[in-house]
Amino acid sequence: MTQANHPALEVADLIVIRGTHSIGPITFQLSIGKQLALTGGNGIGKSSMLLAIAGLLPVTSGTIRISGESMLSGSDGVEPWQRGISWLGQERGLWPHLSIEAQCRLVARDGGKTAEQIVAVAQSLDMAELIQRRPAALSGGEAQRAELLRTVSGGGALLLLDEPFSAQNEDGRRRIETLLEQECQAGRSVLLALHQTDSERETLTLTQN
Amino acid sequence: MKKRQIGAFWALLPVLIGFYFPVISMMIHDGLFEAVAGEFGGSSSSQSVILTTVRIATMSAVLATLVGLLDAVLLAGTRGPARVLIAGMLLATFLIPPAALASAVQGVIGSSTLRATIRDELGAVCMLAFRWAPVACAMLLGAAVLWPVQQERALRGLSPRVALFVRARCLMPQALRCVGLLVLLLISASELPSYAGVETISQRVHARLTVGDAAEGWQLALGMLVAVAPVLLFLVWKLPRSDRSQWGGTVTGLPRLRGVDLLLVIRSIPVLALVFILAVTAWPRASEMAVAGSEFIDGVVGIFQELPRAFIASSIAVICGWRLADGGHRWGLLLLCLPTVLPSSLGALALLHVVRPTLPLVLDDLPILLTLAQTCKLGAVGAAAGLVASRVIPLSESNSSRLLAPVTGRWRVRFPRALPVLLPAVVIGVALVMGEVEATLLMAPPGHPSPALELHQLLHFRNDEQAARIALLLALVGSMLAAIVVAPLRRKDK
Amino acid sequence: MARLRVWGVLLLLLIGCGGEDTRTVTIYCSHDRAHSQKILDLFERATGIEVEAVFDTEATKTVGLVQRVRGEKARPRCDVHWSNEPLHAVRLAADGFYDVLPLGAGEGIPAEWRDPDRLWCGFAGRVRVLALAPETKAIDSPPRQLSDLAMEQWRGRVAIADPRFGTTASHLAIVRSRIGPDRYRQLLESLRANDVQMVSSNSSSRDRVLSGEVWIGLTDTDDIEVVRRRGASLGEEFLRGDGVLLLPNVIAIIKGAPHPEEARELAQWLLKKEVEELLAASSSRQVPLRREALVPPTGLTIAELDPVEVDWNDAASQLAEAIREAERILLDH
Repeated sequence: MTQANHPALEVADLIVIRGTHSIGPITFQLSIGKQLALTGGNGIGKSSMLLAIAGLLPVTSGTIRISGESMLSGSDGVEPWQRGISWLGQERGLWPHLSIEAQCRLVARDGGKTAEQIVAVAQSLDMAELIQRRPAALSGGEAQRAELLRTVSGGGALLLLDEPFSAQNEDGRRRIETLLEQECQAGRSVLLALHQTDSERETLTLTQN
Repeated sequence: MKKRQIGAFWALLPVLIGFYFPVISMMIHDGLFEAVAGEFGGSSSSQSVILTTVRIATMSAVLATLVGLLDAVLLAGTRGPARVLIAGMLLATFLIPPAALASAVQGVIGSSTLRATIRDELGAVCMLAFRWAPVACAMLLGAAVLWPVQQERALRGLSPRVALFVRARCLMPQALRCVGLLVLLLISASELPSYAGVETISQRVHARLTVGDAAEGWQLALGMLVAVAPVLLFLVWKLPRSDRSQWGGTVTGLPRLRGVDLLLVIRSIPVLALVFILAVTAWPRASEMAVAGSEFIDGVVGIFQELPRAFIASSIAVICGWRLADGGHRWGLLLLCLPTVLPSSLGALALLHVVRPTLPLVLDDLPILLTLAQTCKLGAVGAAAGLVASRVIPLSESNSSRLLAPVTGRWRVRFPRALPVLLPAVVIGVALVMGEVEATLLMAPPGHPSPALELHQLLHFRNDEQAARIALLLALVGSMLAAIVVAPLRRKDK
Repeated sequence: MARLRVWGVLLLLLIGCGGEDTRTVTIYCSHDRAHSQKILDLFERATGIEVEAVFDTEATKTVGLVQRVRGEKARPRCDVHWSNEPLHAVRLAADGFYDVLPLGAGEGIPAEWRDPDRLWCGFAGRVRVLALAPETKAIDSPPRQLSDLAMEQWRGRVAIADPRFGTTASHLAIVRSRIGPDRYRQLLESLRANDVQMVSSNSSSRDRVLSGEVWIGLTDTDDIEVVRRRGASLGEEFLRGDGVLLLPNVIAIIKGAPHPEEARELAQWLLKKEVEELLAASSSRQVPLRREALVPPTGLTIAELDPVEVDWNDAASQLAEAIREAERILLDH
């Protein structure tokens, strides 16, 4: 069984609960090398879906398959680090005690990008001068790009990106879009959560119903 | 057994080898279970001693936390001159064993000052609260500086007094947990009898062992564990995650209030008075200079010989606590906490009987078992530190780290992030080990230096001058340790 | 491999540290450290044997060195046990923890202070005493026996240390052995009925007399002497009505001691007359058991005290029950 026989991500009848709020059921597929954006109003559950797919939020019912393998087998499901994903959260999650480069190397240890590739991605994100710095020395937009750099440096075939453009100006957004296209061409798939409709990629809009 | 449970097993090893295995062996050997079958729970008088112990420990813990909360809020919420010095001073007294504190306070106010039917109990509560307030202060100061940056900035926009009030309100959940931890630590405080004629469960257990009635001693100990287990379970289960907290310990924008400066000065007076009394007592007469000098040097050597060992014991306890908390092993945390509730003598005796004979002879001269016993005794400190540390890391950071291989995520990302909480806990643990007497008396190899034990002996035989010298030295070391805790917390103070 | 070598060297160093040639002896000592340390230093100078001492601390805080001796039974670490409280030592002897003392050890000490099987030998001791507050009627007409403490005139004016620990426990066990269980319980009941105050230790008992809270405190002579030398004024009464109770220090050698030869030398040395004289001259004002020992003018002699004879084995066998009854009657009411 090869990856090519399966979509990168299959979600069927997925229901998750965050606090007292139930989200779903939701069903969709994401093909290899493609991008899909989940959109919808505030509090509709976009981030929760990404967290559930990443294994960071418990699932009430439904199925999640990544590269054809079920992520919900066993009592706790497959551990996040074994799902073959890379995840960018809505809140900044850079580790303040390590430089950006050290963080990228750390996540790249298990089949991620090489040091040269990391530098190349950093250049494409206009981060080449900044990767020696620690997070405290970065602006909000830089920190978001730095975290994206770390996410992309990992070896996951599926990128889960929660609002990756929220702190970016036009230039920053364009650079990220280009990077994501390159990653897709290299065989990775991207699932994004965006708060507004996106014309550049396939979109799935979540509603209350 | 799941992999993650096996992975966390090593964190329970010290407490399994150092407490549960020997203690259960001893319980069986001494016939506890026959005694339990006969009459569980002991007589009603034993139950009343358990209640007295819990009552005194709770009252002392509440009072100590209130004082510590005031200190922490003032120190974290205002700027002003010599804050590090004041904080260091407030925390320094914790290293002085309670007997010395009691002796000094009695020297000033006289033992007859507190006259009432509750005199003994009230005296014990006051003394315990005074001694343990620094621990509450250190814990809450740590919690206060790990405040979410946005919240902190919002607070600094409020009027200073309102801001202080809001700060205190926001620290209440941590303060409640602090009360819980202090109750656990104080329940086994066999230091109580040195203040007053108040009987605690430790004393009664010791009395049972003294008359060779070991089974009843173990039964009392078990009763104590049963009594506090629900509290422990609550502490371990209910700690909420702080989603967005972040290091925010700068002083820019903090208000400067004259009243607070005055209050802190007043708050420091008892400590200054204590140090003054000790200094006056310790100052040698001209004829004693040479002897006092050599005693002083011996004291310094003894303290610095003990520090590394205390550091090892404390670090092991804290790392084990953090490892269990990080993995979410609540039952493991409970197992780690329980030994704290019992007097150190029990665990130490069990180790002597059960484990020591199996060790190679060559290890007899090393304080390995003593360190193990003291590590077990610090279980609650380790568990509390671990729980807090694993909850203060922002969820987004923690989530990111969970996408790494477990060992990498744990030790390269989350552990270094937890250090701001774990290091002060290690320092508190060091102080507790330095003041520990019971296990030391039973297990320290002959010739092993123990300043706390020496101080107790000197006080018992009214050698006040030399005792005061050692107490002063301990206060000095306490200041240094406090500086380790406080300096990073307020590193941008000017 | 290199790492393995480093560990090997460290292990060898560790083992090497323990293997010194100097002769050593380990003593567990519950006598006042300030005085006993000086005596042990003298022994070191006299014999060249290095003494490693472990000192006890206040009994109420810990289970103490007696429990340590018991805990180390499988592999003793102690050579000589110097107990300042005889009944626990007698119990240790009965339970097989002690070896026979060398012939001639404690020569001159009367037989009533020794074990007939030579498992322990007493030497200089302290006396149970009532500390009396000056300028009170306790000084004018002091109680002469324990039962006098139950008199109405002393209601609420008497302090006794925790009856389960230390010399107070021994005192009560000896009283029980002498007067029998029934009269013993009556005595305790009468003390309780007269509001006798329970305090944590003998020194607390003395301190309450000093502060004026009570007029009479049951304590030991050494506790009184320590504060007298600092200028405090306290009266004392030896309870001559019951018979003066002298509790000697006790020396014993631990069975299976790691340094038996050195242990015998130290035990013999500590039981010399000169050591009793040193203790008599110290601020703990011990009473030598040898009548011929020199005592300073302010000291106490066995001749003037004429202590009561005690059946040590019987008293030791009653210790547990005496403590249990005292706890039930005096503490759990």
